[in-house]
Amino acid sequence: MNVFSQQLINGLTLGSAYAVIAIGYTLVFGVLNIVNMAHGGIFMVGAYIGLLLVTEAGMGIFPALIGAMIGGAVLGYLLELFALRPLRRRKVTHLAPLISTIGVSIFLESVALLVWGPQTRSFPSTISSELMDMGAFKISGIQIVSLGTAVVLMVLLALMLNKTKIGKAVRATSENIETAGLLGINTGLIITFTVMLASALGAAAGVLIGLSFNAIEPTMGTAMGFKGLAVLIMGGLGNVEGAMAGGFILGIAEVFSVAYGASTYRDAVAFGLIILILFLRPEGLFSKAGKGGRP
Amino acid sequence: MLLELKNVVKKFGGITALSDISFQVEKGDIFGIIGPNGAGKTTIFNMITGVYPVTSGDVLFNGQSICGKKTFEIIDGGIARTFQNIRLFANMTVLEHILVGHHCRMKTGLLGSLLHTASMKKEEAEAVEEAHKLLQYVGLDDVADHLATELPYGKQRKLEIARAMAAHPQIILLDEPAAGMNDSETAALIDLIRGIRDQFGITIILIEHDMNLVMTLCNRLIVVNFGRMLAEGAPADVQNNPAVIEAYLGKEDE
Repeated sequence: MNVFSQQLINGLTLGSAYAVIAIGYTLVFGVLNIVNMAHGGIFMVGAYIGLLLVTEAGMGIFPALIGAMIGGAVLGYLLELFALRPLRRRKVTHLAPLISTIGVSIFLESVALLVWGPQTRSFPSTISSELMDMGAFKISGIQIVSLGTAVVLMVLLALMLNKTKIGKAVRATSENIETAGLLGINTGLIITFTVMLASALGAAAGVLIGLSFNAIEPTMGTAMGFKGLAVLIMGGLGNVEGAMAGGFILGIAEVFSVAYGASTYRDAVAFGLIILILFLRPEGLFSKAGKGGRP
Repeated sequence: MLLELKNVVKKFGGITALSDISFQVEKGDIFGIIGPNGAGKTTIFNMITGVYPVTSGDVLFNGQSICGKKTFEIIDGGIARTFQNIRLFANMTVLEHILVGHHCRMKTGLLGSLLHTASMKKEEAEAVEEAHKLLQYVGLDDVADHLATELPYGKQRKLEIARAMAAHPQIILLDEPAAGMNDSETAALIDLIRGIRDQFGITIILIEHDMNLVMTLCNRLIVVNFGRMLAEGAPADVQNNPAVIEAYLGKEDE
C-alpha cells in the first residue's frame, strides 16, 4: 500500500470537514464583517442533533444530516435575531458582536453539558468502518460518506452563489452592503439568510466530524472552532474558495504530520504552516485587493 | 408630479448639511443639480434613496411620502441610482452586475430560489436574455463575461448606468456621470442619457460639474451652495442669475 496516497485520502476527508466549517465563518464574515464565535457551538449542537436523530429516532445518516442542518439553520436564525441584529441596529463597534457570539457559544456549551452530560458519545456502528481496498489506498464507508457529503455541499453552495438570484444578492451584499441596498436588495433579509445558511453548514460539519472521529462531546466545538478560524484567515476573510482550499490544506497538513513522525506536534505543524502562509501572503491565500480584514 | 422635495432639512449633529431644499421633478424631465464641491448635492440623492433619514421636510414620489422607507423599498418603488465614485463589484462579471441590478424585479422568493423550481429557472433565463439586450443597448454586450473591474473607466460608468436601468426604474439618479470622461466620451454619454429618457421613458436627475453637459441636456435645474438653494429654472435663466455667477466666480467687485 502506498502510504502517501493513503494519507492524502485521510487528509482530504478531514480537510473537507474543516472546509465546510470555515465556509460558515467566511460567509458570515462576508456579509457582516464579524467573526461569529458561536459557530463552533452550533457545530457541536449539530453533531448532537445528528446523533440523536440516528440513535433515538432511528433515522439513517442522510436524513439525520438534513435534520441537523435544519436544526442548525434554526439556531442561526435565533443567533441573528438575539445576538447580532440588536447590536447592528445600535451601530456599535465590531467588538460587541464578537463578545455576544462568544456568549452564545458558552451558553450552547453549558446547555449541552446540562442536557447531554460531559461524557463522549459516538455514532452506532451502522455505517461500515471497514476498509475497502481501492488499490493505491483504502477507504472506509464513513470516509466516503464524509468526503462525499462535504464535496456535494460545497458544489451546491458554489452553484447557489454563482447561479441563483439569492446567491448573487449574497455576493453583492458581501462586497458592499450599502451599494447592495441601493440596488434594491433587502440586505437585512440577506444577512439573516446567510447566517442561517452558514449555521446549517456548521451543523453538517458537526455530523461529519462526529462520524469521522466517532467522538461527540460538549467541548468539541471549541477546538474545531479555532481550526475553522485559522482556515478563515488563511483562505482570506470572506472568501469562499479560500475557505475550501484552506480547509483541505489544514486537513492534509495535520494528517501528514502525524504520518511522517510528528504526531505529538500535529497541531503545531498545521498551525506553523498557517503562520508561514500568512508571512508570505498576509491577506490570505485567495484574497483579492479591496476587501481586507477591515470593513 | 413624479418627485417632489418639500422643505427638506438635513443636519449631521450640529452641522446643517441641507436647509430648506424644495423642488419638483416632472415625468420626462432631465433635471440637473449643480453647485460647488461640498454643497450637499450627493446628500440630496442620499435623502431621496433613504440612505440618511431627513431631519425635517418630506420627499414625495408619485404623491406619496417615501420618508422613513428602507433603501431597498425605495429602489423597489422605482428610483435607481449610480454613484459618484464608481461602485462596481470586484468579483462579478458585467452580466452579473445587470442581474444584480434586476434583482428587485424578480418574483422568485427565497424558497423558490433554493429549490431551483421550474418557474425560477424560466425567470432566471428571461433575466439573462433581458440583461444581454440592455448590454447591447449601451454597447457592452461584447464584454458581458469580463470582470467589471477590467473594463476601461468610461465603460465602467456605462455599466453603472445599465445596472440602474435593469431595475426598471421610473427615475434614475446619476451622480456625476461624466466625471473623468473626455470630450468624445461625454458626447456619447449625452446621447445615451437622452436615449434612456426618450426610449425607456425614464426620468433623469443628474448631478454634474460638466457645464456643457448640463446646459445641453437638462430642461430644468437647481443650483445648490452651502446646503442652500441658490436658483432654480431653465439652464439659460440660471446661467445669468447673479447669485449663481457669484457662487461660481466670486463677486465682481472683489
